[in-house]
Amino acid sequence: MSFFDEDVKKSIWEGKIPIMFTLSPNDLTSHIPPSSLSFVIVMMMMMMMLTFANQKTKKMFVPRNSYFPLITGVVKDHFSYSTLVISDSELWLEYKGIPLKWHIPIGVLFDMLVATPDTTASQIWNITVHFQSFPEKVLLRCSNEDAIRTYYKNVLKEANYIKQGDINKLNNLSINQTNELWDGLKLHDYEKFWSINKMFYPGNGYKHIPYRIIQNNKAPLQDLISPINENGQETTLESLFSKIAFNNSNNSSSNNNNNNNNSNNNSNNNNNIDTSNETQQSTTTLSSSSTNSTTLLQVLNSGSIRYSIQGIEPPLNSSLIWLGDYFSHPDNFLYIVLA
Amino acid sequence: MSDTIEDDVAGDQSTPQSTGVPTSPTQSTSTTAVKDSVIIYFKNAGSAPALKQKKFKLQSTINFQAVIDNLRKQLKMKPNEPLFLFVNQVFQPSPDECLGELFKCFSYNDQLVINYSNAPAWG
Repeated sequence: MSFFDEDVKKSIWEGKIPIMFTLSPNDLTSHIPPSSLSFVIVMMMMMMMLTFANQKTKKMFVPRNSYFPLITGVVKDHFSYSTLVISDSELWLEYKGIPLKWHIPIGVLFDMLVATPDTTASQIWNITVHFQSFPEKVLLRCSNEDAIRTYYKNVLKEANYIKQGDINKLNNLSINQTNELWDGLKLHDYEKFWSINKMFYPGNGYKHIPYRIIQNNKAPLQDLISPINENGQETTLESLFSKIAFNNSNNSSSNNNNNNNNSNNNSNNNNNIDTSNETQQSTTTLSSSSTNSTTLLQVLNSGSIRYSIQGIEPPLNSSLIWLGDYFSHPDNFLYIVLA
Repeated sequence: MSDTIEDDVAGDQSTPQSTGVPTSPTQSTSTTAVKDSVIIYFKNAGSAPALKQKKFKLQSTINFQAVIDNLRKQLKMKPNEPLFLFVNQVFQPSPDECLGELFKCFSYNDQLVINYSNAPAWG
């Protein structure tokens, strides 16, 4: 590994996003004093609280390579005097009406929902913090640190299973090493995290590159891609994009389409497991079912959408192995965001 | 229903385990075609009850939560009874992962094996 490469890896890890967290006004005004108080006092208190609300923000630089539940402890503490409805599992975040999925890396959420070609490094991401009305249908619950840890472990297994064909490297970690990896992620400690994470990066020993292509807050597209092509050369981004069929017709549809599934399932009394009756509207624009659809590469070349990885647009001739090594998120997936 | 598949493969020989699904010969390196429906093979573990019918054809566009919900329904489980689903005895997919995407990466012999247990057996 060259010095340059190590530098790249560290820069990626250090990527941060300025975020302003604002407490939802609903949560602030929800604890209206008991009705026995006189109307005037109630009105005065509400006005005071509303004034308070404008000041109730918290600005932070947040790591791209992390998850919201690992950093929202400070946010919760900050707001703890402004709302009575504090609870870890009730906290959820929203941006422009879209509940933020805590299990997607923060940087991926930002690139998917916020970043535009004009985004400058100083652009602040305004996020609303809620402690009530948890959107059960849309978000997973994150009741405690164990929940995020379990989630992380499973997605790390999934990525390594794709990468190596087994998860022996993960299973062979000692308890201390597993804790080191987790603490490194939780505390955003580069040395700690990479001292373990480097074991999952075998250089040219990949079977496949674990990648996810994600767009519009929908379920990601993933598939097996060999790091070496038929000609013995390293597979490039361009060649990956040329293999993905892409149907962009659904591009402007609601961000939350894919979150309506659960209610359908719960209300269905049909005892047969076949779910063909529960069809939702197509949930992925990254559908490759049609034989004559255009490829993602063609769509990208037409300029109607852009791709980004860790907030930048690496050249199309970048090697997927190299990107996988240096641009992957801590869960070992290479996230390619389309926007 | 007509879409379900009888589990008629006696002593099914196609169960992939540690051999590593990503080497699946059914994968193509050319433009991938996503099927409308995929075959799922449910295998019980621990003290979780077995299903009479183990293979099902499910829509590839559903998310994994729908797979969980439907398996629970098949097993007639109460909401508070724990159930853990694993792909190939390796990992628990996130509830919002798309079934078709999992199938593309982890199927073997054209079916995706899902192990279920009432304890996190491969946690």
